[in-house]
Amino acid sequence: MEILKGIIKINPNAQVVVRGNDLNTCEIEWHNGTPPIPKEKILAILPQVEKEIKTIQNRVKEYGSWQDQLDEIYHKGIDAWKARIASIKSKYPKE
Amino acid sequence: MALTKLLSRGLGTGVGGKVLQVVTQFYDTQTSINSSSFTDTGLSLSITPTSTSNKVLVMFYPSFSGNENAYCAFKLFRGATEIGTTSNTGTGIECFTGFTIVGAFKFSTVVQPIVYLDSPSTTSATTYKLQVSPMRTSSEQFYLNRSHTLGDDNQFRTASNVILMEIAD
Repeated sequence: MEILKGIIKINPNAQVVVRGNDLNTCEIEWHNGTPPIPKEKILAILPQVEKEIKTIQNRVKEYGSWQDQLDEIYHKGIDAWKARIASIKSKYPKE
Repeated sequence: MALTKLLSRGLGTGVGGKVLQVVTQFYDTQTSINSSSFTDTGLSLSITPTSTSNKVLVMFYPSFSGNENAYCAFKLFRGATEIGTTSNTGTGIECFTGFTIVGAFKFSTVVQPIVYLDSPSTTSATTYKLQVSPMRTSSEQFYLNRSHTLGDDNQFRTASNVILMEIAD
Protein backbone atom coordinates (compact mmCIF):
# COMPACT_ATOMS: atom_id res chain seq x y z
CA MET A 1 0.00 0.00 0.00
CA GLU A 2 1.28 3.47 -0.89
CA ILE A 3 0.04 4.96 2.39
CA LEU A 4 2.56 7.80 2.58
CA LYS A 5 1.92 8.91 -1.01
CA GLY A 6 -1.83 8.88 -0.27
CA ILE A 7 -1.31 11.10 2.76
CA ILE A 8 0.86 13.53 0.76
CA LYS A 9 -1.78 13.66 -1.98
CA ILE A 10 -4.34 14.76 0.62
CA ASN A 11 -1.94 17.10 2.44
CA PRO A 12 1.26 17.93 0.49
CA ASN A 13 2.72 19.59 3.59
CA ALA A 14 2.15 16.62 5.92
CA GLN A 15 5.11 15.66 8.08
CA VAL A 16 4.46 12.06 8.97
CA VAL A 17 5.95 8.65 9.64
CA VAL A 18 4.16 5.45 8.62
CA ARG A 19 5.44 2.26 10.24
CA GLY A 20 4.05 -0.75 8.39
CA ASN A 21 2.54 -1.45 5.00
CA ASP A 22 -1.04 -2.30 5.95
CA LEU A 23 -3.34 0.63 6.57
CA ASN A 24 -5.35 -1.41 9.10
CA THR A 25 -2.35 -2.23 11.28
CA CYS A 26 0.28 0.43 10.56
CA GLU A 27 1.30 3.09 13.08
CA ILE A 28 1.04 6.66 11.80
CA GLU A 29 2.92 9.42 13.63
CA TRP A 30 1.91 12.99 12.80
CA HIS A 31 4.81 15.39 13.30
CA ASN A 32 5.30 19.14 13.65
CA GLY A 33 1.64 20.00 14.09
CA THR A 34 0.39 18.09 11.05
CA PRO A 35 -3.35 17.48 11.57
CA PRO A 36 -4.15 13.74 11.53
CA ILE A 37 -6.05 12.37 8.55
CA PRO A 38 -8.59 9.61 9.23
CA LYS A 39 -7.59 6.21 7.85
CA GLU A 40 -10.89 6.02 5.94
CA LYS A 41 -9.92 9.13 3.99
CA ILE A 42 -6.46 7.70 3.21
CA LEU A 43 -8.01 4.39 2.13
CA ALA A 44 -10.36 6.18 -0.24
CA ILE A 45 -7.54 7.88 -2.16
CA LEU A 46 -5.17 4.89 -2.44
CA PRO A 47 -6.63 3.43 -5.67
CA GLN A 48 -6.07 6.79 -7.41
CA VAL A 49 -2.50 7.02 -6.09
CA GLU A 50 -1.63 3.49 -7.14
CA LYS A 51 -3.11 4.04 -10.60
CA GLU A 52 -0.98 7.18 -11.03
CA ILE A 53 2.15 5.29 -9.99
CA LYS A 54 1.40 2.53 -12.49
CA THR A 55 0.84 5.11 -15.22
CA ILE A 56 4.20 6.77 -14.53
CA GLN A 57 5.99 3.43 -14.40
CA ASN A 58 4.51 2.33 -17.70
CA ARG A 59 5.49 5.61 -19.32
CA VAL A 60 9.05 5.54 -17.98
CA LYS A 61 9.58 1.99 -19.20
CA GLU A 62 8.51 2.84 -22.72
CA TYR A 63 10.35 6.18 -22.86
CA GLY A 64 13.66 4.34 -22.55
CA SER A 65 16.79 5.77 -20.98
CA TRP A 66 17.66 9.41 -21.61
CA GLN A 67 20.77 8.22 -23.45
CA ASP A 68 18.61 6.21 -25.87
CA GLN A 69 16.24 9.15 -26.27
CA LEU A 70 19.13 11.48 -27.13
CA ASP A 71 20.37 8.91 -29.64
CA GLU A 72 16.86 8.73 -31.11
CA ILE A 73 16.73 12.53 -31.46
CA TYR A 74 20.15 12.58 -33.12
CA HIS A 75 19.24 9.91 -35.67
CA LYS A 76 15.50 10.55 -36.27
CA GLY A 77 15.04 14.18 -35.28
CA ILE A 78 13.13 15.93 -32.52
CA ASP A 79 9.71 15.67 -34.21
CA ALA A 80 9.90 11.88 -34.48
CA TRP A 81 10.91 11.72 -30.81
CA LYS A 82 8.07 14.02 -29.78
CA ALA A 83 5.57 11.93 -31.73
CA ARG A 84 6.70 8.73 -30.03
CA ILE A 85 6.58 10.32 -26.56
CA ALA A 86 3.11 11.72 -27.28
CA SER A 87 1.86 8.28 -28.32
CA ILE A 88 3.15 6.81 -25.04
CA LYS A 89 1.43 9.56 -23.05
CA SER A 90 -1.82 8.83 -24.90
CA LYS A 91 -1.42 5.11 -24.30
CA TYR A 92 -1.05 5.67 -20.54
CA PRO A 93 -3.15 8.78 -19.79
CA LYS A 94 -3.15 10.55 -16.44
CA GLU A 95 -6.60 11.05 -14.94
CA MET B 1 38.59 -34.57 20.60
CA ALA B 2 37.13 -32.47 23.39
CA LEU B 3 36.78 -28.74 22.75
CA THR B 4 37.39 -26.20 25.48
CA LYS B 5 35.59 -22.85 25.39
CA LEU B 6 38.00 -19.99 26.00
CA LEU B 7 36.76 -16.79 27.62
CA SER B 8 38.81 -13.69 26.93
CA ARG B 9 38.33 -12.48 30.49
CA GLY B 10 40.34 -15.52 31.53
CA LEU B 11 43.20 -14.72 29.20
CA GLY B 12 46.34 -12.89 30.19
CA THR B 13 47.00 -9.17 30.08
CA GLY B 14 47.23 -7.84 26.57
CA VAL B 15 45.14 -10.58 25.05
CA GLY B 16 42.06 -8.44 24.42
CA GLY B 17 39.93 -7.66 21.44
CA LYS B 18 37.85 -10.81 21.65
CA VAL B 19 34.15 -10.81 20.85
CA LEU B 20 32.28 -11.47 24.10
CA GLN B 21 28.69 -11.27 22.89
CA VAL B 22 26.72 -10.51 19.76
CA VAL B 23 23.16 -9.24 19.55
CA THR B 24 21.27 -8.65 16.32
CA GLN B 25 18.13 -7.04 14.98
CA PHE B 26 16.56 -8.13 11.72
CA TYR B 27 14.07 -5.42 10.80
CA ASP B 28 11.81 -5.54 7.78
CA THR B 29 8.97 -3.21 8.76
CA GLN B 30 8.37 -0.92 5.80
CA THR B 31 8.68 2.58 7.20
CA SER B 32 7.79 5.65 5.15
CA ILE B 33 8.83 9.09 6.32
CA ASN B 34 7.93 12.50 4.92
CA SER B 35 9.67 15.04 7.07
CA SER B 36 12.30 17.73 7.43
CA SER B 37 13.20 16.57 10.96
CA PHE B 38 15.33 13.75 12.33
CA THR B 39 13.08 10.76 13.01
CA ASP B 40 13.57 7.30 14.52
CA THR B 41 13.99 4.72 11.78
CA GLY B 42 12.91 1.84 14.01
CA LEU B 43 16.41 0.39 13.90
CA SER B 44 17.21 0.09 17.60
CA LEU B 45 19.03 -2.52 19.66
CA SER B 46 20.24 -2.93 23.26
CA ILE B 47 23.32 -4.59 24.71
CA THR B 48 24.56 -4.94 28.29
CA PRO B 49 28.37 -4.76 28.46
CA THR B 50 30.02 -7.02 31.03
CA SER B 51 32.75 -4.50 31.90
CA THR B 52 32.99 -0.71 31.82
CA SER B 53 36.30 -0.98 29.96
CA ASN B 54 34.92 -3.05 27.10
CA LYS B 55 33.94 -1.56 23.76
CA VAL B 56 30.89 -2.08 21.57
CA LEU B 57 31.24 -2.47 17.82
CA VAL B 58 28.07 -0.88 16.46
CA MET B 59 26.96 -1.85 12.96
CA PHE B 60 23.78 -0.55 11.34
CA TYR B 61 22.87 -1.56 7.79
CA PRO B 62 19.74 0.35 6.78
CA SER B 63 18.24 -0.61 3.42
CA PHE B 64 16.39 2.36 2.00
CA SER B 65 15.16 4.47 -0.88
CA GLY B 66 13.56 7.87 -1.32
CA ASN B 67 12.13 10.28 -3.80
CA GLU B 68 14.35 12.29 -6.09
CA ASN B 69 15.85 15.24 -4.27
CA ALA B 70 15.89 13.47 -0.89
CA TYR B 71 19.17 14.27 0.86
CA CYS B 72 19.08 11.62 3.59
CA ALA B 73 21.16 12.39 6.70
CA PHE B 74 21.73 9.71 9.34
CA LYS B 75 22.48 10.16 13.03
CA LEU B 76 23.59 7.43 15.42
CA PHE B 77 22.63 7.51 19.10
CA ARG B 78 23.65 5.74 22.31
CA GLY B 79 20.62 6.40 24.48
CA ALA B 80 20.01 10.12 24.05
CA THR B 81 23.67 10.83 23.18
CA GLU B 82 24.59 11.37 19.56
CA ILE B 83 27.75 9.44 18.68
CA GLY B 84 29.96 9.26 15.63
CA THR B 85 28.87 12.63 14.31
CA THR B 86 31.50 14.89 12.85
CA SER B 87 32.85 17.68 15.02
CA ASN B 88 33.32 19.91 11.98
CA THR B 89 30.98 22.88 11.83
CA GLY B 90 29.85 25.13 9.00
CA THR B 91 27.58 24.74 6.02
CA GLY B 92 26.05 21.27 5.82
CA ILE B 93 24.20 19.26 8.42
CA GLU B 94 26.32 17.56 11.09
CA CYS B 95 25.57 13.84 10.93
CA PHE B 96 27.17 10.41 10.77
CA THR B 97 26.71 10.03 7.03
CA GLY B 98 24.38 11.01 4.22
CA PHE B 99 23.03 9.76 0.92
CA THR B 100 21.36 11.68 -1.89
CA ILE B 101 18.67 10.05 -4.03
CA VAL B 102 19.11 11.03 -7.67
CA GLY B 103 17.48 9.79 -10.85
CA ALA B 104 16.74 6.08 -11.01
CA PHE B 105 18.00 5.52 -7.45
CA LYS B 106 14.40 5.92 -6.35
CA PHE B 107 13.60 2.64 -8.10
CA SER B 108 16.40 0.97 -6.16
CA THR B 109 17.30 0.30 -2.55
CA VAL B 110 20.74 0.96 -1.14
CA VAL B 111 22.43 -0.22 2.03
CA GLN B 112 24.45 2.43 3.81
CA PRO B 113 26.86 0.84 6.35
CA ILE B 114 27.08 2.78 9.60
CA VAL B 115 29.89 1.31 11.70
CA TYR B 116 31.29 2.77 14.90
CA LEU B 117 33.49 1.44 17.72
CA ASP B 118 31.96 2.85 20.89
CA SER B 119 33.24 3.04 24.47
CA PRO B 120 30.02 3.22 26.51
CA SER B 121 31.81 2.92 29.90
CA THR B 122 28.88 1.16 31.53
CA THR B 123 27.59 -2.26 32.52
CA SER B 124 23.98 -1.14 32.21
CA ALA B 125 21.72 -2.01 29.30
CA THR B 126 22.62 0.39 26.49
CA THR B 127 20.40 1.12 23.51
CA TYR B 128 21.71 2.20 20.13
CA LYS B 129 19.38 3.64 17.52
CA LEU B 130 19.47 5.27 14.10
CA GLN B 131 17.65 8.42 13.07
CA VAL B 132 17.20 9.84 9.60
CA SER B 133 16.23 13.18 8.17
CA PRO B 134 15.13 12.94 4.52
CA MET B 135 15.80 16.67 3.99
CA ARG B 136 16.27 19.78 6.13
CA THR B 137 14.94 22.59 3.96
CA SER B 138 11.78 20.83 2.80
CA SER B 139 9.83 17.65 3.46
CA GLU B 140 11.01 14.76 1.31
CA GLN B 141 10.19 11.07 1.25
CA PHE B 142 12.36 8.35 2.79
CA TYR B 143 11.48 4.66 2.61
CA LEU B 144 13.11 2.03 4.84
CA ASN B 145 13.01 -1.57 3.61
CA ARG B 146 11.45 -0.83 0.25
CA SER B 147 12.06 1.12 -2.93
CA HIS B 148 10.29 4.43 -3.41
CA THR B 149 7.97 2.86 -5.95
CA LEU B 150 6.38 -0.57 -5.61
CA GLY B 151 4.46 -0.93 -8.85
CA ASP B 152 5.59 -4.42 -9.79
CA ASP B 153 8.22 -7.07 -9.08
CA ASN B 154 10.92 -4.96 -10.74
CA GLN B 155 11.03 -2.95 -7.51
CA PHE B 156 12.18 -4.09 -4.10
CA ARG B 157 10.97 -5.02 -0.64
CA THR B 158 14.02 -5.46 1.55
CA ALA B 159 15.26 -5.72 5.13
CA SER B 160 17.73 -3.92 7.39
CA ASN B 161 20.09 -5.32 9.99
CA VAL B 162 21.74 -4.16 13.19
CA ILE B 163 24.62 -6.00 14.84
CA LEU B 164 26.20 -5.08 18.20
CA MET B 165 29.35 -6.83 19.40
CA GLU B 166 30.90 -6.43 22.84
CA ILE B 167 34.65 -6.40 22.40
CA ALA B 168 36.97 -7.20 25.30
CA ASP B 169 39.29 -4.38 26.29
